[in-house]
Amino acid sequence: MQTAIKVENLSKVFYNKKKETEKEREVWALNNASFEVKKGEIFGLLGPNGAGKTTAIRCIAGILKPYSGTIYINEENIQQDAHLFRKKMGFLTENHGHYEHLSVYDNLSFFGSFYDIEDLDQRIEAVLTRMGLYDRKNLRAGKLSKGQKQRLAIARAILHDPQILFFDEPTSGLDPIASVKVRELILGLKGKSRTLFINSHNLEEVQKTCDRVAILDLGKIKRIGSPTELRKDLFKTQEMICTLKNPVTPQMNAMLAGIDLIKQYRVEDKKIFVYSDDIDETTPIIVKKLVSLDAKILQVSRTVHSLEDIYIKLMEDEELPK
Amino acid sequence: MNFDNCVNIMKKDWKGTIRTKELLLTIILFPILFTVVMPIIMMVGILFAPSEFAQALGDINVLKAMLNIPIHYNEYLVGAVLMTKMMVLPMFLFVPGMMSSIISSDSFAGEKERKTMENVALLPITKTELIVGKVLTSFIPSVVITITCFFGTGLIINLMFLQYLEGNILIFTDVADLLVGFLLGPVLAFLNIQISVIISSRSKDLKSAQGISGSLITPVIAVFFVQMFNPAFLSPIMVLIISGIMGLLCVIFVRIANKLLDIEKLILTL
Repeated sequence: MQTAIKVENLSKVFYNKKKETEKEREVWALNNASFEVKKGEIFGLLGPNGAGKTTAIRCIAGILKPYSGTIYINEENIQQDAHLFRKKMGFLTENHGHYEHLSVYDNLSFFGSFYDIEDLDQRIEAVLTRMGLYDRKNLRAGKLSKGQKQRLAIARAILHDPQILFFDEPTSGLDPIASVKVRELILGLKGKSRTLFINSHNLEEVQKTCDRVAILDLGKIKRIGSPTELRKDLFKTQEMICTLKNPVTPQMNAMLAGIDLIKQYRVEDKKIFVYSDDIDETTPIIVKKLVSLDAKILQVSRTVHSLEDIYIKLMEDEELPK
Repeated sequence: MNFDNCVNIMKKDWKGTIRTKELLLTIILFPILFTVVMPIIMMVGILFAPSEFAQALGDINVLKAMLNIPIHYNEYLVGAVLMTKMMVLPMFLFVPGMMSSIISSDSFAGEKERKTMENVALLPITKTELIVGKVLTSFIPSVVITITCFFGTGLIINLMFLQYLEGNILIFTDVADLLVGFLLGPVLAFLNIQISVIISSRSKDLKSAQGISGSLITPVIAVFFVQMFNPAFLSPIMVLIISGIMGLLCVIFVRIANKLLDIEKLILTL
């Protein structure tokens, strides 16, 4: 798969003049961050507020000058003529940034006029229809609801049909229904040649939308991978719970103790809790042996660690790589 | 540089200006006050008491010689020329001076205040295209208003003195007056815009940008007083010299604006 975005050892330092010492003045928003985003994937940059997510997008867009590092878009270095690369990108910024005194249509018309769009009027109408805002096109942007403003911001971002779309906290401040709608719209934008880059601190959002995730904290990338990869990487021992109709017998206990794949287990009346490094292989063996011991199995379930568990574990347990 | 990008920025800003009632009202009322209402009030005095006005100024013959006022001009026309030189013309300079500052102080401070700066920075345009767009936003209306006001004032004064003109034309035949209207006015507007754009880009909000840009009118006030006490000050040569110096400053400020305007700072101070 081709690379849409490649970030190599990206660092960005801000200076806080109010601090006394030179060291205190330096704020490393990004510290040697490296990652790649493949063409056509939805990539999530996950991290707490102040982790450096927005700075990363701004550097990729070329509106912030990196302290060091290189950024490639479609394998081309963006250092020269970053503004030309922005033609291929669409942005949904954290502040929607509409001209509130201008109409919905005028807002799109202004932003669309900088791109080579063949029939801008037709394109605006198509995008507004897609975003469910066509009947609001003559309304001042300031009169829209928060969810509608966010949809207008998405309309603006996709107006020129960009190859790469950046979403900075796309559901921030929205009510649950509006959030779901925005998330659906984002997912609907995924295409073979379109890459989506989502900045978020909302774990549920990232889990539901992203193919791969990079976890960023204090400007450093802590982990990159798909949620499944991260889960496997961080939670080596997994849990399986087996619920029986009848109480666990001493024979069953002995059987469990004899399985090498089981790292640890415990029994609570009719429930067996098994911990193993390879729960996929262990589960059928246990089930088979329990059946052979006349156990009536009501339910077999596995604890799947959410992205939230992964995130919390990373933030709490792991030391930053030196 | 892609000029279309500059024009797009300009068009959007104009739409914004037109739809901001307070700003639009200031842009309309201010020139009317300074180039219609005030000149009419001043000239009415001359129409009613031309001799008293001439007497109040002292030796009228010295003034006539100093200002090259044609000998055949009657007392009404002499009064009108003197009033134009002493009050109307320097007051007219307030229009390009103020208009340019009022519109251009909104350029970047307004974007910051409306939280639209980041999206403007994310447009596929260069910094120079952005600056040129912002400068044009103020320059074109300032020049149009300045020239319209010059014509308007000239027309009103000529109409007021119509019965005393005796085939003469006021203001439009005076080289110094024409130079003030067509050269000094636009150059003053351009210089003020350059400085106001820099101020706007470095101000926290629109109000502080307008406050600081407002002080740019001080040199016009100085010219106003100098001209009041020495009506010959704005001679054609002096207007050319002042315009030349200002033109030079414009070139310098274009470079300064490009250097001082830091998009990164604009975004980070949102």
